[in-house]
Amino acid sequence: MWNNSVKNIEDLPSLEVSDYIPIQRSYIIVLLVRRLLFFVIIGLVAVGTLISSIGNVIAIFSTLLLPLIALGVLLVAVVLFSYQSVRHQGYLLRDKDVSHQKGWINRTFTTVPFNRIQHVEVTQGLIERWFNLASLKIFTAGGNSSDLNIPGVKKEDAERIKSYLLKQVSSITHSSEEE
Amino acid sequence: MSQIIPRQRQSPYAILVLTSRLLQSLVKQAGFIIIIILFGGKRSQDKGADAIFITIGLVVLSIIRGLIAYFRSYYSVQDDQFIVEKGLLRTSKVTIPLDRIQAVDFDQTPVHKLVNLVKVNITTAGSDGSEANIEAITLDKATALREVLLSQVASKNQDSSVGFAELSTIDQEPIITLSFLDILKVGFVENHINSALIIFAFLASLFGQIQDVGLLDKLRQYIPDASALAADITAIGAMVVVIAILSILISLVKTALLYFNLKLLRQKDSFRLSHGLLNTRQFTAKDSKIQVLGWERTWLQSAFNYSTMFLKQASSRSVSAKKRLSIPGCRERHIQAVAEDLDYQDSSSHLPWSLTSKYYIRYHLRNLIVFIILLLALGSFSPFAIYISIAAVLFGIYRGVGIIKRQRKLAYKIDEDHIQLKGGTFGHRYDVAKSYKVQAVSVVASLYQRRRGLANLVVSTAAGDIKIPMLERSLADKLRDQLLYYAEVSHQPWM
Repeated sequence: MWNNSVKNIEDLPSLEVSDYIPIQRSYIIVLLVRRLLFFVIIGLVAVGTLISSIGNVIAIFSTLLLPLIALGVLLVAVVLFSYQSVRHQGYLLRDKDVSHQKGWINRTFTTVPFNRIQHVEVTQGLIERWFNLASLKIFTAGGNSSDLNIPGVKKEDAERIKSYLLKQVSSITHSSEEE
Repeated sequence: MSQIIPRQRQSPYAILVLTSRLLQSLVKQAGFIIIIILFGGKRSQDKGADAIFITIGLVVLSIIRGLIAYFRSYYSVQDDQFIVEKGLLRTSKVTIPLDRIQAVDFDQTPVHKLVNLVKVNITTAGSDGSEANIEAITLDKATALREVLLSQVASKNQDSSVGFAELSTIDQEPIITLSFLDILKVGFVENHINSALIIFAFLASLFGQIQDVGLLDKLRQYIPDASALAADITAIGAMVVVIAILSILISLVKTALLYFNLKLLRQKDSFRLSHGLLNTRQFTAKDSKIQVLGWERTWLQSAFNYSTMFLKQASSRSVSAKKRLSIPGCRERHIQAVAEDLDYQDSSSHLPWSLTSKYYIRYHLRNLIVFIILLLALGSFSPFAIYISIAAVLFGIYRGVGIIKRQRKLAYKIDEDHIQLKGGTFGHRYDVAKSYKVQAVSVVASLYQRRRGLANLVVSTAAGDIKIPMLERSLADKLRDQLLYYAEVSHQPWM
């Protein structure tokens, strides 16, 4: 039982954050498609205005120049952040818990023990389906602050992890009921 | 399995409760339209008739809907499940497994009191918000239902051989009762800033109107050989006094209405809290369901040695704000008594508290200074530059003192039994959770923190997070491993 107190904290199994499995790089494209839809629409509007006033291109262009530069900077920022967010995201499975690392500037590493998982979900959006990716969602009780949402996992992997997690969760509940 | 509570309707008097509730919501929804009809451009003799027609229409509609709601609602407990059915056209059937139920609370509005019924709210811990309620049943039935729902939970998790009847008879001396005088005292030490803001907004609009009417000019005439400035200062001074008195009064009335007849009872393995003058509420919190125990004290409350105690239970997002039992007007010994019952006392009181890193002050002061400088720079373009800079400096001093005070109070202790965190800025606050009830641990590090090898440790329970800021990264990792270990080797039910 757990009241067998641990005197030496150094002996506890330690979590090596560097061991995590990175998510699929192709998830960058999913993120970009999702986030750049806005830019595509703005771009189309801009091109449309330019074409419709063909005689006056230079005047229009000069008034649009500043907004276009701002848009360009925003575009670069979105691409950079998407790339970095995927590059720094990953997960880690151990015997008794699952962890998720995310964030480029603020880096968060969250661990949920199997015996605190309420349910597990695999979801797949339209764009994710093109790349055979899925999101793995791990729910705990209460508020949402401790729920894990791991995107950019291969569909098969996600399903496999899900069934593994569910098996672990149910085996824990069974063993505790027997006692 | 057997039907523990057969499928049944609510008490017939529920029709009255349902009708009045539906009438209220109808008036709220249609209020705008009613105002337009009544104050529209019609001749005045028609308005009386309109008002009567509208009233009759709304009442009839509510009665019909109330009758439908009554005859189409059923509740039952069967096969270890609590079932609530509702609705005529869009029927809904909520089924909650008994072991998912976190709390069963009673509510009484004045209408409920008139017919002597209670509303029963059932909360679960699901993240999908599967809550259920029964609008109006008799107190006896409600009590019986609560005992079935909650004992079932207990018998599943641990063997409690106590029968329902026995449970209900254990009525002890209440841990806390607040007399009317106590409530007035508690109301007096409440945070008056909220009340003051309401009054301030009200008075500000009133002040505008007074100026429009020209009353201020008249006031100036009555003050002998005073400049306009003196009159303004008198007016502002009077306003401050009025606001102060009114906000204390409002706090008093609010506290009296909400916490009238407050009682915290200890029963076999749960706490029962009831209070309220117009709307009476009764909450039950089972020991095993309590995730976090906390208390806080504003500086005014510290002066009178009053604390507000919190018992936080697991709940889904939609009700999480309501799902903490807050008990104002607690003394040290009350908190001690509750902590003792819950086994939340400091088991390693001989060990010192750990402080957070000194970087806490540096980091927050640096951010504050950058913010103030930006504010000053932006403000210098404004015609009110002088006022903005005074306000910015005052704000900076206030926040700066706050940061230093908070750093001094921040202290934590983590052992195999509990996670404890002390904090507070001008007041004090304290939170304690059981180590094995932890359901997630996060280590969060910003760019600044990574450069200096620091991190925040966020310990999540089913009833909220406990955040320990600015630890050495290696220490945060070690504490994380430690807490995960306690949770992973535990077989105790945590919800």
